[in-house]
Amino acid sequence: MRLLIAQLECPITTDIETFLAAAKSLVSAGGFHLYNPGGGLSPLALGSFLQEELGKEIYLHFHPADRNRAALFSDLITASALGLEKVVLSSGQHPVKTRFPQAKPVYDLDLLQLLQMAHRVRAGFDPADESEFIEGGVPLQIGVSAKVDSPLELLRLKQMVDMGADYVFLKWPSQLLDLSRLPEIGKPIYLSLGLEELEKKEEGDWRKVKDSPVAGINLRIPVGQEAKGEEVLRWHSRYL
Amino acid sequence: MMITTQKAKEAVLSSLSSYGKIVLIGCGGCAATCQTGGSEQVKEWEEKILAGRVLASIVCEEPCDERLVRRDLRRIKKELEEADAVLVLACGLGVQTLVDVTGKVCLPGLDSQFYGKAERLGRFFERCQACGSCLLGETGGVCFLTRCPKGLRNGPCEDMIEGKCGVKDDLDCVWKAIYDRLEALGQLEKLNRVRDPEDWSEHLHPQQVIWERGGTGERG
Repeated sequence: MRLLIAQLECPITTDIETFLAAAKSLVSAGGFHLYNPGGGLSPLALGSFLQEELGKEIYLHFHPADRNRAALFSDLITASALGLEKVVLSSGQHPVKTRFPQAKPVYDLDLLQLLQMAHRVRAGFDPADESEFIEGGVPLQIGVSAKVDSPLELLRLKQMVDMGADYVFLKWPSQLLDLSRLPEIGKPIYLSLGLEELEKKEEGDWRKVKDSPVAGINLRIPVGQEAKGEEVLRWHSRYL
Repeated sequence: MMITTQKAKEAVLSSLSSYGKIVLIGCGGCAATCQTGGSEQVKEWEEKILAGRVLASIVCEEPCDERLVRRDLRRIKKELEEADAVLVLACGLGVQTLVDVTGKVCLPGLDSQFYGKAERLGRFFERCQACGSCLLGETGGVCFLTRCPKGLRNGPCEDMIEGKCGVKDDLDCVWKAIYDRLEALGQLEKLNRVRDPEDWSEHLHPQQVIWERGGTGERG
Protein backbone atom coordinates (compact mmCIF):
# COMPACT_ATOMS: atom_id res chain seq x y z
CA MET A 1 0.00 0.00 0.00
CA ARG A 2 1.36 3.36 -0.97
CA LEU A 3 1.45 6.24 1.47
CA LEU A 4 -0.83 9.17 0.75
CA ILE A 5 0.63 12.38 2.11
CA ALA A 6 -1.33 15.61 2.36
CA GLN A 7 0.90 18.63 1.88
CA LEU A 8 -0.52 21.59 3.77
CA GLU A 9 0.71 25.15 3.69
CA CYS A 10 1.36 26.54 7.15
CA PRO A 11 -1.53 28.96 7.61
CA ILE A 12 -1.41 32.67 8.32
CA THR A 13 -3.48 32.54 11.47
CA THR A 14 -3.33 32.06 15.18
CA ASP A 15 -6.36 29.79 15.08
CA ILE A 16 -4.74 26.39 15.46
CA GLU A 17 -8.07 24.67 16.20
CA THR A 18 -9.36 25.41 12.70
CA PHE A 19 -6.12 24.11 11.20
CA LEU A 20 -6.39 20.94 13.29
CA ALA A 21 -10.01 20.43 12.22
CA ALA A 22 -8.99 20.80 8.56
CA ALA A 23 -6.18 18.28 9.02
CA LYS A 24 -8.51 15.87 10.84
CA SER A 25 -10.94 16.00 7.93
CA LEU A 26 -8.22 14.46 5.74
CA VAL A 27 -8.84 10.96 7.06
CA SER A 28 -7.40 9.26 3.96
CA ALA A 29 -4.02 10.92 4.47
CA GLY A 30 -1.45 8.63 6.02
CA GLY A 31 0.84 11.55 6.66
CA PHE A 32 1.14 15.28 6.60
CA HIS A 33 3.78 17.38 4.92
CA LEU A 34 4.00 20.89 6.32
CA TYR A 35 5.35 23.58 4.07
CA ASN A 36 5.90 27.20 4.99
CA PRO A 37 6.74 29.27 1.91
CA GLY A 38 7.22 32.27 4.18
CA GLY A 39 5.28 34.03 6.87
CA GLY A 40 3.01 31.22 8.04
CA LEU A 41 2.91 29.45 11.38
CA SER A 42 6.04 27.49 12.24
CA PRO A 43 5.98 23.98 10.74
CA LEU A 44 7.82 22.83 13.86
CA ALA A 45 5.00 23.97 16.12
CA LEU A 46 2.28 22.69 13.82
CA GLY A 47 4.05 19.39 13.25
CA SER A 48 4.42 18.79 16.95
CA PHE A 49 0.76 19.65 17.44
CA LEU A 50 -0.44 17.39 14.62
CA GLN A 51 1.70 14.48 15.71
CA GLU A 52 0.31 14.66 19.20
CA GLU A 53 -3.31 15.02 18.06
CA LEU A 54 -3.39 12.69 15.06
CA GLY A 55 -0.46 10.34 15.49
CA LYS A 56 0.29 10.28 11.75
CA GLU A 57 3.56 10.58 9.85
CA ILE A 58 4.75 14.17 9.84
CA TYR A 59 7.13 15.52 7.21
CA LEU A 60 8.61 18.94 7.90
CA HIS A 61 9.68 20.98 4.92
CA PHE A 62 12.82 23.08 5.35
CA HIS A 63 14.28 25.41 2.75
CA PRO A 64 17.01 28.07 2.72
CA ALA A 65 15.04 30.85 1.02
CA ASP A 66 14.40 32.71 4.26
CA ARG A 67 16.83 31.11 6.69
CA ASN A 68 20.58 31.10 7.00
CA ARG A 69 22.60 28.11 8.12
CA ALA A 70 22.32 28.97 11.81
CA ALA A 71 18.51 29.11 11.64
CA LEU A 72 18.32 25.89 9.62
CA PHE A 73 20.55 24.11 12.11
CA SER A 74 18.27 25.31 14.86
CA ASP A 75 15.23 23.99 12.97
CA LEU A 76 16.83 20.60 12.44
CA ILE A 77 17.75 20.01 16.05
CA THR A 78 14.42 21.41 17.23
CA ALA A 79 12.57 19.00 14.93
CA SER A 80 14.52 16.12 16.34
CA ALA A 81 13.99 17.28 19.92
CA LEU A 82 10.24 17.36 19.25
CA GLY A 83 10.33 13.80 17.94
CA LEU A 84 9.77 14.94 14.36
CA GLU A 85 12.33 12.93 12.46
CA LYS A 86 11.20 13.23 8.86
CA VAL A 87 12.34 16.32 7.00
CA VAL A 88 12.03 17.28 3.35
CA LEU A 89 14.58 19.72 2.00
CA SER A 90 14.10 21.92 -1.03
CA SER A 91 15.51 25.10 -2.55
CA GLY A 92 12.39 27.01 -1.55
CA GLN A 93 10.53 29.67 -3.43
CA HIS A 94 12.22 32.97 -4.07
CA PRO A 95 10.54 35.68 -1.95
CA VAL A 96 9.24 37.43 -5.08
CA LYS A 97 6.99 34.40 -5.57
CA THR A 98 5.68 34.50 -2.01
CA ARG A 99 3.54 36.77 0.14
CA PHE A 100 6.67 38.77 0.96
CA PRO A 101 8.09 39.81 -2.41
CA GLN A 102 9.98 42.67 -0.76
CA ALA A 103 11.89 40.33 1.58
CA LYS A 104 15.60 39.74 1.11
CA PRO A 105 16.31 36.27 -0.30
CA VAL A 106 18.71 34.39 1.97
CA TYR A 107 20.08 31.28 0.24
CA ASP A 108 23.06 31.13 2.56
CA LEU A 109 22.98 27.43 1.64
CA ASP A 110 21.59 25.77 -1.44
CA LEU A 111 19.75 22.46 -1.42
CA LEU A 112 22.85 20.29 -1.73
CA GLN A 113 24.65 22.20 0.99
CA LEU A 114 21.57 21.93 3.22
CA LEU A 115 21.46 18.19 2.60
CA GLN A 116 25.13 17.98 3.48
CA MET A 117 24.53 19.93 6.68
CA ALA A 118 21.52 17.82 7.68
CA HIS A 119 23.70 14.72 7.35
CA ARG A 120 26.37 16.19 9.57
CA VAL A 121 23.74 17.15 12.13
CA ARG A 122 22.33 13.62 12.01
CA ALA A 123 25.82 12.31 12.67
CA GLY A 124 25.97 14.59 15.70
CA PHE A 125 28.27 17.25 14.36
CA ASP A 126 27.77 20.97 14.81
CA PRO A 127 28.10 22.60 11.39
CA ALA A 128 29.50 25.74 13.00
CA ASP A 129 32.80 24.18 13.91
CA GLU A 130 32.46 20.49 13.05
CA SER A 131 32.68 19.56 16.73
CA GLU A 132 30.61 16.65 17.97
CA PHE A 133 27.71 18.25 19.82
CA ILE A 134 25.71 15.16 20.59
CA GLU A 135 27.11 11.70 21.00
CA GLY A 136 25.46 9.13 18.79
CA GLY A 137 23.88 11.75 16.58
CA VAL A 138 20.38 13.03 16.04
CA PRO A 139 17.56 10.89 14.66
CA LEU A 140 16.60 12.45 11.33
CA GLN A 141 15.27 10.95 8.11
CA ILE A 142 16.27 13.28 5.34
CA GLY A 143 14.31 13.62 2.14
CA VAL A 144 14.81 15.98 -0.77
CA SER A 145 12.60 17.64 -3.30
CA ALA A 146 13.57 16.96 -6.92
CA LYS A 147 12.56 16.95 -10.58
CA VAL A 148 13.64 14.74 -13.46
CA ASP A 149 12.36 16.58 -16.51
CA SER A 150 15.84 17.12 -17.97
CA PRO A 151 19.25 15.39 -17.93
CA LEU A 152 20.52 18.16 -15.67
CA GLU A 153 17.80 17.50 -13.10
CA LEU A 154 18.40 13.78 -13.28
CA LEU A 155 22.09 14.39 -12.66
CA ARG A 156 21.22 16.50 -9.66
CA LEU A 157 18.90 13.83 -8.27
CA LYS A 158 21.66 11.24 -8.59
CA GLN A 159 24.01 13.63 -6.78
CA MET A 160 21.58 13.99 -3.88
CA VAL A 161 21.04 10.26 -3.64
CA ASP A 162 24.82 9.75 -3.65
CA MET A 163 25.00 12.31 -0.86
CA GLY A 164 22.66 10.17 1.20
CA ALA A 165 19.10 11.44 0.67
CA ASP A 166 16.86 8.88 2.37
CA TYR A 167 13.82 9.50 0.18
CA VAL A 168 12.74 11.77 -2.64
CA PHE A 169 9.69 13.95 -3.13
CA LEU A 170 9.64 13.98 -6.90
CA LYS A 171 7.61 16.46 -8.88
CA TRP A 172 5.38 14.44 -11.21
CA PRO A 173 7.60 14.08 -14.31
CA SER A 174 6.42 15.76 -17.49
CA GLN A 175 6.97 12.41 -19.21
CA LEU A 176 5.56 9.86 -16.85
CA LEU A 177 6.93 7.10 -19.04
CA ASP A 178 10.34 8.10 -17.70
CA LEU A 179 9.24 7.03 -14.26
CA SER A 180 9.89 3.42 -15.14
CA ARG A 181 13.29 4.44 -16.45
CA LEU A 182 14.29 6.22 -13.30
CA PRO A 183 17.71 5.01 -12.29
CA GLU A 184 17.85 2.41 -9.63
CA ILE A 185 18.15 4.98 -6.94
CA GLY A 186 17.10 2.53 -4.30
CA LYS A 187 15.28 5.15 -2.27
CA PRO A 188 11.55 5.64 -1.73
CA ILE A 189 10.03 8.08 -4.19
CA TYR A 190 6.91 10.07 -3.41
CA LEU A 191 5.29 11.65 -6.42
CA SER A 192 4.39 15.22 -5.68
CA LEU A 193 1.63 17.16 -7.37
CA GLY A 194 -1.15 19.66 -6.72
CA LEU A 195 -4.89 19.10 -6.58
CA GLU A 196 -5.50 20.77 -9.93
CA GLU A 197 -2.74 18.79 -11.62
CA LEU A 198 -4.07 15.56 -10.19
CA GLU A 199 -7.53 16.17 -11.54
CA LYS A 200 -6.08 16.33 -15.04
CA LYS A 201 -4.45 12.92 -14.73
CA GLU A 202 -6.04 10.08 -16.61
CA GLU A 203 -6.48 6.48 -15.64
CA GLY A 204 -3.55 5.51 -17.86
CA ASP A 205 -1.26 7.78 -15.86
CA TRP A 206 -2.29 6.02 -12.68
CA ARG A 207 -1.72 2.62 -14.21
CA LYS A 208 1.87 3.66 -14.89
CA VAL A 209 2.23 4.82 -11.33
CA LYS A 210 0.82 1.56 -10.07
CA ASP A 211 3.39 -0.36 -12.10
CA SER A 212 6.22 1.85 -10.89
CA PRO A 213 8.30 1.64 -7.72
CA VAL A 214 6.69 4.80 -6.37
CA ALA A 215 6.26 4.64 -2.58
CA GLY A 216 3.49 7.16 -2.30
CA ILE A 217 1.80 10.34 -3.41
CA ASN A 218 2.33 13.78 -1.96
CA LEU A 219 -0.74 15.88 -2.73
CA ARG A 220 -0.51 19.64 -2.29
CA ILE A 221 -3.82 20.83 -0.91
CA PRO A 222 -4.47 24.58 -0.94
CA VAL A 223 -5.74 26.20 2.23
CA GLY A 224 -9.52 25.84 2.43
CA GLN A 225 -9.71 22.96 -0.03
CA GLU A 226 -9.30 20.14 2.47
CA ALA A 227 -12.76 18.68 1.77
CA LYS A 228 -11.98 18.42 -1.92
CA GLY A 229 -8.52 17.09 -1.05
CA GLU A 230 -10.05 14.32 1.05
CA GLU A 231 -12.44 13.41 -1.75
CA VAL A 232 -9.58 13.16 -4.24
CA LEU A 233 -7.34 11.24 -1.86
CA ARG A 234 -10.11 8.75 -1.13
CA TRP A 235 -10.85 8.25 -4.81
CA HIS A 236 -7.23 7.76 -5.77
CA SER A 237 -6.42 5.51 -2.85
CA ARG A 238 -8.31 2.79 -4.76
CA TYR A 239 -5.66 2.93 -7.47
CA LEU A 240 -2.77 2.88 -5.10
CA MET B 1 32.00 48.50 -15.97
CA MET B 2 29.65 50.06 -13.46
CA ILE B 3 26.28 50.48 -15.11
CA THR B 4 24.45 53.63 -14.06
CA THR B 5 21.07 55.15 -14.73
CA GLN B 6 20.00 58.76 -14.30
CA LYS B 7 18.01 59.73 -11.27
CA ALA B 8 14.71 61.47 -11.95
CA LYS B 9 15.51 65.12 -12.69
CA GLU B 10 12.89 66.29 -10.18
CA ALA B 11 14.59 64.32 -7.43
CA VAL B 12 18.00 65.75 -8.30
CA LEU B 13 16.65 69.29 -8.48
CA SER B 14 14.96 68.77 -5.14
CA SER B 15 18.23 67.64 -3.56
CA LEU B 16 19.90 70.79 -4.97
CA SER B 17 17.14 73.17 -3.93
CA SER B 18 18.91 74.55 -0.89
CA TYR B 19 22.19 75.13 -2.71
CA GLY B 20 22.78 78.13 -4.98
CA LYS B 21 26.05 77.78 -6.83
CA ILE B 22 26.80 74.38 -8.29
CA VAL B 23 29.85 72.69 -9.77
CA LEU B 24 29.02 69.85 -12.12
CA ILE B 25 31.29 66.83 -12.51
CA GLY B 26 30.81 64.02 -15.02
CA CYS B 27 32.58 60.74 -15.71
CA GLY B 28 34.65 60.01 -18.80
CA GLY B 29 34.59 56.27 -18.09
CA CYS B 30 31.66 54.03 -17.34
CA ALA B 31 29.00 56.76 -17.06
CA ALA B 32 30.08 58.18 -20.40
CA THR B 33 29.57 54.77 -22.00
CA CYS B 34 26.18 54.48 -20.29
CA GLN B 35 25.38 57.98 -21.57
CA THR B 36 24.41 59.03 -18.09
CA GLY B 37 27.38 61.20 -17.11
CA GLY B 38 29.45 61.91 -20.21
CA SER B 39 30.09 65.27 -21.83
CA GLU B 40 26.66 65.46 -23.49
CA GLN B 41 24.81 64.86 -20.23
CA VAL B 42 27.01 67.34 -18.37
CA LYS B 43 26.29 69.91 -21.06
CA GLU B 44 22.55 69.30 -20.84
CA TRP B 45 22.56 69.78 -17.08
CA GLU B 46 24.72 72.88 -17.33
CA GLU B 47 22.94 74.65 -20.17
CA LYS B 48 19.33 73.54 -19.75
CA ILE B 49 18.41 72.02 -16.43
CA LEU B 50 20.63 74.10 -14.14
CA ALA B 51 21.03 77.08 -16.45
CA GLY B 52 22.64 80.03 -14.67
CA ARG B 53 23.55 78.11 -11.50
CA VAL B 54 26.64 76.24 -12.67
CA LEU B 55 29.98 77.87 -11.82
CA ALA B 56 31.98 75.25 -13.69
CA SER B 57 31.70 71.80 -15.17
CA ILE B 58 34.21 69.12 -15.95
CA VAL B 59 34.26 65.50 -17.10
CA CYS B 60 36.84 63.69 -15.00
CA GLU B 61 38.67 60.90 -16.76
CA GLU B 62 37.72 58.47 -13.98
CA PRO B 63 36.03 59.99 -10.93
CA CYS B 64 36.62 56.78 -8.96
CA ASP B 65 40.40 57.23 -9.15
CA GLU B 66 41.52 59.75 -6.55
CA ARG B 67 44.76 60.50 -8.40
CA LEU B 68 42.95 61.45 -11.60
CA VAL B 69 40.33 63.42 -9.70
CA ARG B 70 42.99 65.53 -7.96
CA ARG B 71 44.68 66.15 -11.29
CA ASP B 72 41.49 67.11 -13.14
CA LEU B 73 40.06 69.31 -10.38
CA ARG B 74 43.07 71.61 -10.51
CA ARG B 75 41.43 73.20 -13.53
CA ILE B 76 38.39 74.34 -11.55
CA LYS B 77 39.95 74.92 -8.14
CA LYS B 78 38.59 78.46 -7.75
CA GLU B 79 35.02 77.56 -8.76
CA LEU B 80 35.06 74.59 -6.42
CA GLU B 81 35.98 76.82 -3.51
CA GLU B 82 33.04 79.10 -4.29
CA ALA B 83 30.49 76.33 -4.94
CA ASP B 84 27.76 75.50 -2.45
CA ALA B 85 27.48 71.93 -3.75
CA VAL B 86 28.82 69.55 -6.36
CA LEU B 87 26.50 67.55 -8.57
CA VAL B 88 28.21 64.34 -9.60
CA LEU B 89 27.12 62.47 -12.70
CA ALA B 90 29.04 59.31 -11.84
CA CYS B 91 28.54 56.11 -9.88
CA GLY B 92 28.64 55.96 -6.09
CA LEU B 93 32.39 55.41 -6.21
CA GLY B 94 32.81 58.71 -8.02
CA VAL B 95 30.58 60.59 -5.58
CA GLN B 96 32.49 59.27 -2.57
CA THR B 97 35.87 59.94 -4.12
CA LEU B 98 34.80 63.54 -4.77
CA VAL B 99 33.63 63.88 -1.17
CA ASP B 100 37.04 62.65 -0.01
CA VAL B 101 38.94 64.98 -2.35
CA THR B 102 36.86 68.18 -2.14
CA GLY B 103 35.21 67.95 1.28
CA LYS B 104 32.22 69.64 -0.38
CA VAL B 105 28.57 68.61 -0.36
CA CYS B 106 28.53 66.16 -3.27
CA LEU B 107 25.14 65.01 -4.52
CA PRO B 108 24.52 62.04 -6.79
CA GLY B 109 22.83 62.55 -10.14
CA LEU B 110 22.97 58.85 -11.00
CA ASP B 111 22.10 55.51 -9.48
CA SER B 112 24.69 52.72 -9.61
CA GLN B 113 22.95 49.59 -10.84
CA PHE B 114 25.41 46.75 -11.29
CA TYR B 115 28.70 45.56 -12.76
CA GLY B 116 27.74 44.72 -16.28
CA LYS B 117 28.83 44.16 -19.80
CA ALA B 118 27.77 46.39 -22.66
CA GLU B 119 26.39 44.29 -25.46
CA ARG B 120 25.95 47.49 -27.43
CA LEU B 121 24.97 51.01 -26.42
CA GLY B 122 21.79 50.91 -24.42
CA ARG B 123 21.96 47.16 -23.72
CA PHE B 124 23.76 46.42 -20.48
CA PHE B 125 23.67 43.12 -18.61
CA GLU B 126 24.74 42.23 -15.08
CA ARG B 127 27.50 39.65 -15.21
CA CYS B 128 29.67 39.96 -12.09
CA GLN B 129 29.04 40.41 -8.38
CA ALA B 130 32.65 40.95 -7.37
CA CYS B 131 32.29 37.93 -5.06
CA GLY B 132 36.01 37.76 -4.35
CA SER B 133 36.47 34.12 -5.40
CA CYS B 134 35.92 33.73 -9.11
CA LEU B 135 34.67 30.28 -10.14
CA LEU B 136 34.16 30.97 -13.84
CA GLY B 137 36.83 28.39 -14.64
CA GLU B 138 34.56 25.68 -13.24
CA THR B 139 31.40 26.72 -15.02
CA GLY B 140 32.41 27.30 -18.60
CA GLY B 141 32.71 31.03 -18.02
CA VAL B 142 29.11 31.50 -16.91
CA CYS B 143 28.53 33.11 -13.50
CA PHE B 144 25.81 31.38 -11.47
CA LEU B 145 26.04 33.85 -8.59
CA THR B 146 25.05 36.72 -10.84
CA ARG B 147 22.72 35.03 -13.25
CA CYS B 148 20.72 32.85 -10.85
CA PRO B 149 18.22 34.99 -8.89
CA LYS B 150 18.78 32.67 -5.93
CA GLY B 151 22.57 32.63 -6.39
CA LEU B 152 22.60 28.83 -6.14
CA ARG B 153 26.08 27.35 -6.23
CA ASN B 154 25.25 23.71 -6.98
CA GLY B 155 22.82 23.33 -9.81
CA PRO B 156 19.31 24.45 -10.62
CA CYS B 157 16.39 24.71 -8.24
CA GLU B 158 13.16 22.81 -8.60
CA ASP B 159 11.45 25.84 -10.15
CA MET B 160 13.25 25.49 -13.48
CA ILE B 161 10.75 24.73 -16.24
CA GLU B 162 12.04 23.53 -19.60
CA GLY B 163 15.30 25.37 -19.12
CA LYS B 164 13.62 28.60 -18.06
CA CYS B 165 14.08 30.35 -14.73
CA GLY B 166 11.14 29.95 -12.37
CA VAL B 167 11.78 33.29 -10.71
CA LYS B 168 12.25 35.61 -13.70
CA ASP B 169 10.14 34.14 -16.45
CA ASP B 170 12.01 35.80 -19.32
CA LEU B 171 15.35 34.42 -18.16
CA ASP B 172 17.02 31.18 -19.21
CA CYS B 173 18.12 29.09 -16.23
CA VAL B 174 21.81 29.79 -15.79
CA TRP B 175 22.45 26.21 -14.69
CA LYS B 176 20.98 24.97 -17.95
CA ALA B 177 23.35 27.37 -19.72
CA ILE B 178 26.26 26.03 -17.67
CA TYR B 179 25.25 22.43 -18.43
CA ASP B 180 25.04 23.17 -22.18
CA ARG B 181 28.36 24.99 -22.14
CA LEU B 182 30.19 22.26 -20.22
CA GLU B 183 28.64 19.59 -22.42
CA ALA B 184 29.90 21.43 -25.50
CA LEU B 185 33.34 21.68 -23.93
CA GLY B 186 33.32 18.00 -22.94
CA GLN B 187 33.63 19.00 -19.29
CA LEU B 188 30.36 17.75 -17.77
CA GLU B 189 32.32 16.07 -14.98
CA LYS B 190 32.78 19.55 -13.51
CA LEU B 191 29.12 19.43 -12.49
CA ASN B 192 29.84 16.59 -10.09
CA ARG B 193 31.70 18.82 -7.69
CA VAL B 194 29.64 20.05 -4.75
CA ARG B 195 30.77 23.52 -3.77
CA ASP B 196 30.95 24.40 -0.09
CA PRO B 197 28.84 27.21 1.31
CA GLU B 198 30.39 30.65 1.08
CA ASP B 199 32.46 31.71 4.07
CA TRP B 200 30.94 35.09 4.80
CA SER B 201 33.50 35.86 7.49
CA GLU B 202 35.85 36.58 4.60
CA HIS B 203 33.53 39.19 3.17
CA LEU B 204 33.21 41.73 5.92
CA HIS B 205 32.46 45.15 4.52
CA PRO B 206 34.11 47.45 3.74
CA GLN B 207 36.73 45.38 1.98
CA GLN B 208 40.10 46.58 0.84
CA VAL B 209 43.07 45.44 -1.18
CA ILE B 210 46.35 46.85 0.05
CA TRP B 211 49.52 45.87 -1.76
CA GLU B 212 52.38 44.75 0.36
CA ARG B 213 55.76 46.19 -0.54
CA GLY B 214 56.88 44.40 -3.68
CA GLY B 215 53.54 42.63 -3.90
CA THR B 216 51.46 41.87 -6.97
CA GLY B 217 47.95 42.67 -5.82
CA GLU B 218 47.27 39.10 -4.83
CA ARG B 219 44.77 38.95 -2.02
CA GLY B 220 46.37 37.99 1.26
